[in-house]
Amino acid sequence: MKLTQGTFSFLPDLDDQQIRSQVEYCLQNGWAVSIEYTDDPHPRNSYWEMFGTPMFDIRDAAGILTELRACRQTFPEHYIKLNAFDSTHGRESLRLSFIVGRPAREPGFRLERQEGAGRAVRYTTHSYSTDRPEGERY
Amino acid sequence: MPVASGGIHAGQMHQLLHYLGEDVVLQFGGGTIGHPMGIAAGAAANRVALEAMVLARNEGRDIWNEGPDILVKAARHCAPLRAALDVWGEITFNYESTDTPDFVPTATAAA
Repeated sequence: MKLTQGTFSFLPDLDDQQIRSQVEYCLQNGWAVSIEYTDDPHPRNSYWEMFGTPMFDIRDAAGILTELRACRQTFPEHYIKLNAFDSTHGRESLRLSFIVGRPAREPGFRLERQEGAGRAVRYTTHSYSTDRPEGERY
Repeated sequence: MPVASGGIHAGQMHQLLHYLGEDVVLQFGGGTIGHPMGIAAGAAANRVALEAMVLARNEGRDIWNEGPDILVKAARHCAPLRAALDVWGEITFNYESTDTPDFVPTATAAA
C-alpha cells in the first residue's frame, strides 16, 4: 500500500530533477528546507526524526540534494520527507511537505475494532511494520 | 479564505489555482460523488489533478495556458482522473455573477 501523506503523494514518486525544481521553488520563496525520516508512518505521527538541522543558510538546491542523498544512504528503507518552513510573520509554519523516499515494500495499515460497553466500537489504525522494533521495520 | 463550490470539477483545476491560489477551500461535491467509478475515485481524481497542478506551477510552468495539457498528462497514470476529464472536461459554467450588490440605500432625513 503506497503511503499517501503530504503533497504530491498521489502522483508517481518524484525523480531527483522534479525534487530539485520543488526545492528551488522553496528557496526562491525564502523558506528553510529540512529533511525528516521515520519508520513509523502512522498518519497521526507528525513528529518524524530530523536528519540534521533545518538548512536555514543553504541557498542552493544542490546542497539540499546532497543532504537528501546522504539521508537516503543512511536510511535506505525508511520514509523520508522534505519540509519547507516559512518564517514570515503571521505565517510561521510549514508551506510545503512531501515524501521523497520510501521503503521498497510498504505493508500498510490495518483497522482494529475495540468493542466497548453498550456495543460502542473504537477504531484504531495499526501499522503492520511497527510490530517489529524501531530500525528493523522495513 | 476563499471557498470555491458549486459546479467545480477536476478539469478546472488550473483556473481554480490561478484565480484563488493555494490558501483556499475547494468543495468538489458533484465533482466527487458524480464520478462514474465511485466516490473514492472522484476524490482521488480531484487530488491528483490538484497535486499535478501545484507541482507544475512550482516548476514555473504557465498553468493558465498549459493547464489542460498538464491534466491530460497526469491522467495517464491515474484512471480516475482520466474518467473525470472524460465526463466533465469540456463543461464550463459561464454564468453572470449572482453576487452583485442588490442593496439600494434608502434616502432618509438624516442622510
